[in-house]
Amino acid sequence: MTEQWQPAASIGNLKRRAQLINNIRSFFAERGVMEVETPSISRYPTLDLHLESFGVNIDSDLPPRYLITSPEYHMKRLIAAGSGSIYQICKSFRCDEVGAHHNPEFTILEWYRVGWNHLQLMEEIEGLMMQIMGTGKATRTSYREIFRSLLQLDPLEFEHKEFKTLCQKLGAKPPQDLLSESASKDECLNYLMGSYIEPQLGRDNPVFVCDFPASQASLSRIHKTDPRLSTRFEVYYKGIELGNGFYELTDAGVQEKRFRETNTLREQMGKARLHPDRSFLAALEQGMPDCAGVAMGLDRMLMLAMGQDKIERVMSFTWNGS
Amino acid sequence: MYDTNEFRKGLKVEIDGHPYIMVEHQFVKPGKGQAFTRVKLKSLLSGNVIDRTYRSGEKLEKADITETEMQFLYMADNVYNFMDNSSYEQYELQEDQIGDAWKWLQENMNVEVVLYKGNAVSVTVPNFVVLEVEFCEPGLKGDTATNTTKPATLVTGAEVQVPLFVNQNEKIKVDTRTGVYVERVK
Repeated sequence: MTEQWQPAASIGNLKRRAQLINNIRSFFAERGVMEVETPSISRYPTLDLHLESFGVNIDSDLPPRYLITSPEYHMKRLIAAGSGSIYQICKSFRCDEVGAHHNPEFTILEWYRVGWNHLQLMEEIEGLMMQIMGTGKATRTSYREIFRSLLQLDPLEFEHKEFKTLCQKLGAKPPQDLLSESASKDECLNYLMGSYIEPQLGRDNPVFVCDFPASQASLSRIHKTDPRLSTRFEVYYKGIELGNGFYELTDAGVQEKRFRETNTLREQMGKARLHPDRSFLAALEQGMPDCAGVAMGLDRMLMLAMGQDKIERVMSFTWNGS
Repeated sequence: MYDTNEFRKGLKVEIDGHPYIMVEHQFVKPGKGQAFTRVKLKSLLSGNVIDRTYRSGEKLEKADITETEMQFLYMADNVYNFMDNSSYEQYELQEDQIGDAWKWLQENMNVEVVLYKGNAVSVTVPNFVVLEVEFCEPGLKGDTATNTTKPATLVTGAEVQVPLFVNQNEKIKVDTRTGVYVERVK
């Protein structure tokens, strides 16, 4: 058998990719956002319920190191040190994520706007997508609104039996664990989002889904006026999630508490507890200015900009051919 | 056992004592939520398609399925008889297990018979077969147009739309996946 050596993407697509990335750099240069580089290998793993960092073993006598799942912790340390608004285009790594729109090693476009909130940042994301991908005007909706309008379910107030009834109505076959009374409500919502909402979002133009439930706040701050909601948002285009952003949480105490809660949930799922990133927490402790940030899947953006349906069409080599 | 990251089209798996072939699979990771893989599975017995969703790391049983090249011997009393070309062992398929394949089955033709736990459950005919036209209206001399057609009955009893120039007792090539006439074979 001959060894497969050819790239996954055509050379033409790679040329287009290079050109679009240049355009992105110009976009930020014109706006005075500084490009930065931060480590790919970190002393701490990402502490998230559903993200797994690759471990890197340098020497069995030394503590393990981890490939980043996003440059977030390091970039926030730069902001705490006074960098001002920054952006980065870098590789990120996530275990077990392989599919038409996933590759365990992928490229993130991540940026932070110091002194801005998430609403201002969404305007800029919309502008970037229009300029780089040629999209039209985006629409904005809320997490609650989209569930109510598309599935007639109130994500902030529902009983597990309503989820089961909805699944029956949809003819849905959710994973077994979600059928149990004790299933996590957030996972029920995640399942519905991934299966029945996301594919319908942004058919013509990008859609921002704002105000995710507080229980899914991740690293965003909670709404001042409604503690059931967070300032987390996601942006979708052509049925695909392209980015996730926050009006960033700056409170070290709250961040540490969220890490602890995540570890408790990880343990309940039979997953290993993880070390919180002490350097990141120390930076928040010292004080990080108010800012909004977003991470976008660059390969997916380029895939859609080039009218492709698999990210491998815009990546030189993929997981299975690396 | 197959792990979710081994899922691919064509995988033959067993669920609740029933064999299926995977026709579609999709990895879904909703935002910051837990990932799952959505699959479509086609029953190897009934042909029905079902949807299932699995968490990463869940495993599916491998189905005891083999495909063997066999010769179609004959049909009698709605039972189709096949013979394994290497072991000479004979297998039977009932009319409902044959499905649409009856249209293209001619004695001595080589086909793929699917065995589940040692029993024949279905048959796959070649993508293209050459069969004789048993009956059709006479051909129009000089009419080589292929866009106007007429019905023709093949020796197997199947009816196929053929161009007007095709005559009775001539052989034609048919695409069995679509049932469409391809060309006349001399």
